[in-house]
Amino acid sequence: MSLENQEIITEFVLESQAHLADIEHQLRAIEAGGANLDVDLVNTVFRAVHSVKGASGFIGLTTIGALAHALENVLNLMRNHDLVPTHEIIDTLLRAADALRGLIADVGQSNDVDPAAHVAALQGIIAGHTAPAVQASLQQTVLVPTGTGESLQISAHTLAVQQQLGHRLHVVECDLISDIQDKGRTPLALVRDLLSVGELLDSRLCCEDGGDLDHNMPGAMRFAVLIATGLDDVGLVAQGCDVSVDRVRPATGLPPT
Amino acid sequence: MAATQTAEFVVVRPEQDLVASNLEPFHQTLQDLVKQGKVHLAIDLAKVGIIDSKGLAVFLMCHKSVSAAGGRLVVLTTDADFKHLFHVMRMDQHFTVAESL
Repeated sequence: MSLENQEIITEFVLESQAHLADIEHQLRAIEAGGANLDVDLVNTVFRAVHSVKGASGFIGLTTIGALAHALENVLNLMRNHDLVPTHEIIDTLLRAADALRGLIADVGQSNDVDPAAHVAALQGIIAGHTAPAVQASLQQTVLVPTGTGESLQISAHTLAVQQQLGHRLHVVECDLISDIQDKGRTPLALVRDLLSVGELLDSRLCCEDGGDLDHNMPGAMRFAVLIATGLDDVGLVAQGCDVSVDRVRPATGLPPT
Repeated sequence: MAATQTAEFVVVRPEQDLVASNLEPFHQTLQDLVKQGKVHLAIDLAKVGIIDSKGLAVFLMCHKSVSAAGGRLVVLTTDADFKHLFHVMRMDQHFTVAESL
């Protein structure tokens, strides 16, 4: 691991530990409120977990990201009054939060841990304690067209989370050959720049004229990514991703907020 | 380019970055192996520091060649950046990315 990566991971650990330092007390306070929900407090916990999820994606910590995502889903339903925080639900959240803090404390080994049991327990909360209409909405998919007639997709639930966070969705489309290779950049540098701008929700890579090993190199490698960001200016998104402004456009086809 | 045979796979170990200026021997090695009927291929990235766009293209071309011949491609790496790159590019939906065989 490079020195730069070590510094990034150390920073991630310190920031995540700060975000989650008070989560046990916060969840118990949410439980004490019961149906008389303190929405501001749930929002605080939600944003803390969302920050951990977003940062983990930036550095490829997939297990931490998966567990934080499952926690975030439950907290989002709670803050929308689709889920009442009972003792049983809060206990499950506490066990998952404790596991998340354990993964962060041992970040180097975290990707080797299977979070399936905690993720299943969190999904079980949603299956067992929310209305059928809410569960149906979690299964809905929203298609976002790319400029080449294909689609990127996200769940309606993820879209709602991003919209409630005040994030804007953009589609960044570029050719990995002419926009990246020919400008002396690598795909990894592009991914890092994208992640510095926002959260990557879906992506597609399509090789034009791409054949097998007996063929020439593809003429183009079209990469499209759906990104959620606090930036609403296309120019700023393009600048952050280090691509020309015509490679970025606001996502279309989204239902109204 | 180093290549060794395991029970199922031929493991190819590129010893330099997979960038446009270095790709020909890598491409040629893979092409020769497929022509010899070696279609269960593993590419070990232990000694690779950088992969550019055309380097990524070779992985996709290799995947097409081996899968068309009934084989499969596995990419071996412990590097979190590489694993993340293959995931964001959705290339891990085409072939397996693993730390070891």
